[in-house]
Amino acid sequence: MRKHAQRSLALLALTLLACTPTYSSLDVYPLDGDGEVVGNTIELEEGHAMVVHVRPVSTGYPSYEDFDIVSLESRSPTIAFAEGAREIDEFVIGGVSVGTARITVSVNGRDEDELVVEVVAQQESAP
Amino acid sequence: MIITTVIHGPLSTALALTMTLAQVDVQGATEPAPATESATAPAAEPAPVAEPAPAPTAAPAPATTQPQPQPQPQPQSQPQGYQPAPQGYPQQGYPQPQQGYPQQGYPQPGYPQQGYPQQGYPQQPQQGYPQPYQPPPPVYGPAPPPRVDASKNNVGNALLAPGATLLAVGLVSVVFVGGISAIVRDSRLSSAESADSRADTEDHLNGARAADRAMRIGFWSGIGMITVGLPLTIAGSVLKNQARSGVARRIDLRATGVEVKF
Amino acid sequence: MGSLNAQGPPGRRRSLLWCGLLAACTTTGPSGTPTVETPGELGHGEFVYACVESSDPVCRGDDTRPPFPDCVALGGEFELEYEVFEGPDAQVSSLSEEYFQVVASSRFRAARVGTAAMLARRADETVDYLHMRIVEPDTIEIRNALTGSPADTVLMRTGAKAIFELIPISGDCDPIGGSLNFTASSSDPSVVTASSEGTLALTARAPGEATISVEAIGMLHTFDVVVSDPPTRWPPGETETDTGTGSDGDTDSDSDASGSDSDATGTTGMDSDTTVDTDATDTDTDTDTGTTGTT
Repeated sequence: MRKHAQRSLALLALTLLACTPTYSSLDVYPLDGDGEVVGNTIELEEGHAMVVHVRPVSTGYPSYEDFDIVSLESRSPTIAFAEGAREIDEFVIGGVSVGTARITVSVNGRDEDELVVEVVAQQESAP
Repeated sequence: MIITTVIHGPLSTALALTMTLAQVDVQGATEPAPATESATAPAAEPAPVAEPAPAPTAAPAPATTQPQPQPQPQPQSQPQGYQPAPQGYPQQGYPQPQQGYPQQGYPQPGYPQQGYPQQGYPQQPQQGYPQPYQPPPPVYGPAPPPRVDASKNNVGNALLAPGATLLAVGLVSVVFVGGISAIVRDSRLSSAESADSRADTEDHLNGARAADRAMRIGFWSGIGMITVGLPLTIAGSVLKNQARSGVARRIDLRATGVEVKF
Repeated sequence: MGSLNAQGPPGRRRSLLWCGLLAACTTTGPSGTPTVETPGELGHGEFVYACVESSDPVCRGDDTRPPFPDCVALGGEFELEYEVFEGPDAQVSSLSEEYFQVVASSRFRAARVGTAAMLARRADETVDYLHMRIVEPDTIEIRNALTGSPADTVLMRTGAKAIFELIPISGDCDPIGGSLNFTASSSDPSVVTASSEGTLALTARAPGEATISVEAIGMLHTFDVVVSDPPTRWPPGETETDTGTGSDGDTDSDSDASGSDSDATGTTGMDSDTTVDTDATDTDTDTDTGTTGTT
């Protein structure tokens, strides 16, 4: 009897755990600005800012909901700037100085992935 | 749609378990009576005691659970004193020696009536001998099993009580915890959309996520309790009714992980 | 506008209505100059540009609604604020200090040629941003603040004071924003002194000649100043012209050369007939008797 109860509880726990999405990857694409996004790598010029849309992708069912919050934090703020934009899934990425920076991506406060930002020098601007 | 599907699954499971239980019950009714009962019964005992359980085709369990007094007349050769009942007693008529004595509260017809010696036997010594009443010696072999009272059916109650509790708690969990949490979640989501700043939006979304988690836990735990509690309640009810009807059965609930013997 | 205000209460209401529609009546910068707005690139508000000094080309000219500068001169300073459409206020900050240095709150200096973003931020949130170009001016013109004439050779009379502005000129973008910081010096302070607090102010001390050197963003400009004694009386037929600007911006002329003593007048340009604002009423020519109107 106790074994059956334990099995039932374990099944219930598994069911509840199965109701939370499991991180798989990031969906990143640019919304504004001149930077380029290839996979998890963003390339932009020094001094420039851009807006990217970042959403996590779940391995299967269930998928991430609207209330699953993504946050970015630059590990090298002297090279790349990262901060949330007005919309919850949008972020402003800025090139502070030339170099490569990594940005930690966390979902609901849990570190899940990272973005790589390559800040390149500005080209000669045409008049 | 999702909720309907989600509810439908566990309820279907519960229904299937209930059907399984009913099948088990019917199958149990076809099983012969415990060997100990018939083997220990002396040959001189009245027919109802010594008789095996009725064949499934001849007398289904529900039929045997209705030991109503038969209108069949008592045989003419019935002696005044104690005599074993004739072997040829029809099954329907086995309570003939006790005819006129109500048998309510005796759900197991194979057991001798406790009041039987006082009702049928004492008439012999009283005949012509003004001796004080002396109870006859026990002639029933081993002591009869304890009397089973339908209102005190422990197994039925043991199933019914937790089953009903689980069912009630499950329903409360689904309706109140899950339902209210869903309302809170939707409210926080709509508030997040109209928030003025990202910080406010995140606050609302965090609240929505917490409410969603509470909703999931409340809903699924409630569904789990209902899934377990519903068959238990049904099984308990069935067993209680069966016990009240005077049918002893062994119900093997291995399908649900519960084995009940009585 | 003035006419609208003169119409009494109904006219004032109409004036307020026009002000509300144009949003230009009450927006002034730190130096009383008009401000110009442009929407942020994310569309959540407006960046408001304000000139630090009147020498900022954006704030010069006759336009009551000057356009938002296409670019900022290297070394130029300006103020930039942000008005968010909804929600709490946001502060403007520089994405890269290598391009826009923060001088003070909401005050920036263009430090490097290129393009850089200005961010409108509030608590852990970037509401908007604006990319601004920084260009190196082709040249810097030194112009009289009142007449707008270039300062090649300046004729001044003793005791007069003249105000000059440093105007960055770029062929790439117009208008170019930013008030330039500079240093100025006089080759002979006994003849003319120069101060460089916001604008270039020259004060004629004594008759003679001096060379004024102005250095801004690595560019050195020089021009000569000739100081002469004022005439005891005006030549026949010549009247003093007051080119000072009043509150209404109109240019008026008067001939209030009263008294026998001459007014201290500043003269700019070679053989220029334009005299700069002289409402001086005192008679002491040894002291600073000339007052020059500023914007």
